[in-house]
Amino acid sequence: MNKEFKVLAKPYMVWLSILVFVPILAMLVISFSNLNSSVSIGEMSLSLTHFDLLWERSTIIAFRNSLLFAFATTLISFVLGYFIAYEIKLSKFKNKFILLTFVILPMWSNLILRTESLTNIMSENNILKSILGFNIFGNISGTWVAVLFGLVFTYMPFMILSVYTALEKIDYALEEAALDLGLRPIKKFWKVVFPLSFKGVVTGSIMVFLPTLAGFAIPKILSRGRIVFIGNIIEQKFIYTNYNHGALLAVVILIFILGSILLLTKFDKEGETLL
Amino acid sequence: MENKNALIELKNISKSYDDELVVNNVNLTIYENEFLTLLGPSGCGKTTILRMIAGFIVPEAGEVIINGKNFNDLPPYARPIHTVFQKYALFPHLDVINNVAFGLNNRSWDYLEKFYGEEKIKNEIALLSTKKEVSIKKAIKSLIYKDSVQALKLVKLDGFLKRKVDQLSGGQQQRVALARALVNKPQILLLDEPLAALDLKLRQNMQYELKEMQRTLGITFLFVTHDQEEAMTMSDRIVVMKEGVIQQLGTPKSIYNEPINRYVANFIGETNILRGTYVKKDLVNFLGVDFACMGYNFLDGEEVDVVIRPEDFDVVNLEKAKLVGECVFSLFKGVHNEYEVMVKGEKLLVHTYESYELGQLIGLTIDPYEIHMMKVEKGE
Repeated sequence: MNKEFKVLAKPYMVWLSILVFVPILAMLVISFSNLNSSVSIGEMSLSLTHFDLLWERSTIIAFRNSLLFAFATTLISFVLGYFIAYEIKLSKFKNKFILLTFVILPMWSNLILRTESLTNIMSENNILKSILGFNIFGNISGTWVAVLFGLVFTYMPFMILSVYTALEKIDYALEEAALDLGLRPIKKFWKVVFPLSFKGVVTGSIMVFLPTLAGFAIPKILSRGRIVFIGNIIEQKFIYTNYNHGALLAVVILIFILGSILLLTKFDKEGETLL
Repeated sequence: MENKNALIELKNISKSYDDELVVNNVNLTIYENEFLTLLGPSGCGKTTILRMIAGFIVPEAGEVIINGKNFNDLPPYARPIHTVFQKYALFPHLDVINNVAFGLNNRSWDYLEKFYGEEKIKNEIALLSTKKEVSIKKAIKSLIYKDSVQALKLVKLDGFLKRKVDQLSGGQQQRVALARALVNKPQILLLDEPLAALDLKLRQNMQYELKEMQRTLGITFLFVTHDQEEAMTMSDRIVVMKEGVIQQLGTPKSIYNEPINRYVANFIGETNILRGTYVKKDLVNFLGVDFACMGYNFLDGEEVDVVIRPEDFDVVNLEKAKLVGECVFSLFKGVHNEYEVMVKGEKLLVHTYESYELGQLIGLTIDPYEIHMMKVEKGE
């Protein structure tokens, strides 16, 4: 690489080391130690006894919840998000940027605030009901439907954006070539458009899957604490200073993240679809 | 040409974009096994005509008739026509062989059974069934593969089956695009400036190969280009277009030697166009000199445009010359020399093998059969 670029990259490398590498290293070390509220740093030693946590029923259920909801959110985001992205691509509307802005518009408000409002309008008495006279969502706050809705609502824009980027890169001449070679429009979609946008689907899926898997705020607020994700347990462990427990679970999540990135690089070597 | 069957007939077709007429009431008949070129500058409507035949554009008025049937409302996938696109449009997610087999791979079994015919499939089954019985589908798949390899052999790319298309050079991609269209055995192959992106040497090679392929395969080629030399080299007939209107239709020779108007004369190669007077039968006057001519009938005394190609001047001794002029510009072109000769205030472009110095006097004559005349167009 160019020498000037190396110099320019230095501040970022320092940033990356202090805020990413060092904490991850610390987390790895702590996850193999006995460090918790009753042990001070001076008395820290290697310990694997707390690994029992991984086979505890509550942990397994939390992992199951996280994975189940992450998969469901990704699947729904993929089906709906692909459809929306495709419609945006096909629309005759001149300024597609405005359409995309609408997609990311909700992100302009704070995530916690947005989720709190969502749970509010999902409960029995809310402001929308007094305005409209009826309840849009019914009384679903606290149920798994509410959590799933909140997750899809929050993370689907990532899917839409990355699929749209991939779709937009497909040369229209390729679609014409497929028609010219005798493919009907539906077959053209499955044989040309979909395979060529698949990278965007993979990128989008990972961008939806990871935050859903590791997140804790949305399930906590929308389920009113009834559905526990692995993120909620990690949060609890750190709040009650069970550092080794928290770190261990965080490392497990990290393994999932690395696995996903590996998958991504397999499909998208140039990182084209990452915005 | 007259005894051949008409394959495509365009009847009074028109198309406009934003109120601008890009194809204006065009009538054209394309015959079986011919190499027809639509020639004209960009924006003359040639690509629009091609896309109407391919089915990507529906004409606003008129009919596209193929094999005697009206094809106006038939979508592209239902037409016996394939296109070689300007930028090739190869599928980047497939390797070379799957690009070529793409069309056939995605046809219905019914279509493929008819495409290959019972006998060919039976033969293939017999060929494959040495150890165990082979299904019809498997035989068809095998035929598709063999045909695709054969098509790649035709374009001299049979060593590249498993290559990704983005690992091919422009010329190779061009050939894959050609094979991809040819493997479907279309009745008509449309080529939309397919050579425009290639360098000169490669382009010239491809010109000969395309012509050769068209001759051996017996497919009708409809070629679109803005390059007059390309059109001359390959075509059986050329259609010269301007602003959505056909200017002239004819063999390369007739268009070159007998252009119908100034536009065609200028577009097809370098030329001299002079204003003259048709004195009487077989006698024309231009640059103040009477010349014998032949084969034209105008009114006596009518004004005409005289076209003389630069290579049609004969350079002779000054005593024998009908026109004498001073050489004002010279260019060595390898085979011949190009001169600009000033004769009575008119600059004439002359090609000759003789060499002259700047400022030297050159004597010129013209044989009667080299003098071509056009009716003077209104407004010129």
